[in-house]
Amino acid sequence: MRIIPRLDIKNDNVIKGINFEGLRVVGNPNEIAKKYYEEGADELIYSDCVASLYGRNSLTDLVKRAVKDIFIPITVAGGIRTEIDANLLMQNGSDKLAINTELFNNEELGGQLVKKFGSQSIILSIQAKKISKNSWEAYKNFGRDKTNMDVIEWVKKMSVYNFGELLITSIDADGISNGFDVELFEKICQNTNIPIIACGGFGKLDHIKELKKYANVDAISLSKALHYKKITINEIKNFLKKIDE
Amino acid sequence: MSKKITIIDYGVGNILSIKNAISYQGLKSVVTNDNKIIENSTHIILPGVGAYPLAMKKLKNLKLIDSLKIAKHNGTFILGICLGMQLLFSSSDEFESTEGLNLIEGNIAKLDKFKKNLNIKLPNIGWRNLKNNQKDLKINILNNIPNNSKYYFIHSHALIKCKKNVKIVNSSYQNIEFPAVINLNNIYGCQFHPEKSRTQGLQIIENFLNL
Repeated sequence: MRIIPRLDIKNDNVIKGINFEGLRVVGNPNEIAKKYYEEGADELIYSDCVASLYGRNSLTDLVKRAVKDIFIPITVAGGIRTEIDANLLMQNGSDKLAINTELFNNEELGGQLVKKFGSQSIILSIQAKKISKNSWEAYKNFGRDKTNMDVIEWVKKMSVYNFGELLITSIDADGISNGFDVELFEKICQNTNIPIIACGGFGKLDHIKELKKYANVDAISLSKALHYKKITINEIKNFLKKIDE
Repeated sequence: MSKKITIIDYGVGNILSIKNAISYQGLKSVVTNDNKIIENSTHIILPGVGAYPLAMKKLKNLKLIDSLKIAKHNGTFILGICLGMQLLFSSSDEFESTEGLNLIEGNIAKLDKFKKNLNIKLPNIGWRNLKNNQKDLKINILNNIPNNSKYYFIHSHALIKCKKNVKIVNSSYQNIEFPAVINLNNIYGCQFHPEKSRTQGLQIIENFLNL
């Protein structure tokens, strides 16, 4: 299972909130990224959390700086609306792009980007909010706006575009540190054969054990527990080795 | 003779990271699709992500196929990375059967064709070991690297068949073994991304540039 720290970026700072709201500054993105790289992160995700609102992604320079001395895969999420946006990020060192909001205006963008950059570079990002038992709605604009689209329906609908991975974030669980929305990931795993990155809710090691029991996810992405030094990447990796034996 | 390191620019792949991996060793590289520069290189890196047919079309349109054949003939060291490695071979079944550069005879197929009745998650994404059971077939770009090092893979296709004279070091994914590093004379290939595989990946690039 890959461990992927996520850096939510606003105004050149790493920030972190609860349920995507109440954002607080955590620190400098370059320093934090370098630290997670040195601690053994498998990949990094940079998420521009105001990009969709302002209609642009501002992470180009940040990524360009990062890839000078960070030699692991880097995913950029947030505000990718056109092939031109995507191209700029890819030329400046991104390995993968995660797309959400714009797909609700222009579904074809998924297919277009997959064709240009290959499945392995394009991730379908979904922000899921629980509506009722076994039912989740997809949100856009960094978890701010409703789409009236059922998450499972959306996964099925998007499967025609051959995304390489799914980045699924539970809005309800994000920043709470109370465990993953296990039912959400279980349901998604039953409905797709695409590798899944589970995001939102990590608080302690047993949360991973619980998640693995029900859902065959390929990676977890976490931020708060690492930012606030509740755990190290190494501790997670050692734990995974132990439970896999 | 001083080194002339060229990264082939044909509009696919994360070229910046390869360039950075080379600068990290204090070496300079040129990112180009200029035939003359390519043909006069001492070391060529052929990157690549994305789809095989599109990549071949781009190489063809830029008239790079012959340049790469000339470079091979001149004894230039060539390293193909990920899709770039697959392009070195004769053909691939990705989408449609497509001819490759044919610098080495061999065929690329989707990983789920490697065994019968496979239902596996693709792409194969993640950090994997190399099998070190082929001691007699040591590939020199793997020198000076600890045995159980892991490398970052992200691919759905791999080399399924080639001539016996090609040196191969395998990796595996869900019980399928597939070639991760290959070498025949001056031609090298990595199915994983050395430029995304930490120090061990950088060591491979350094070893290659030291050839």
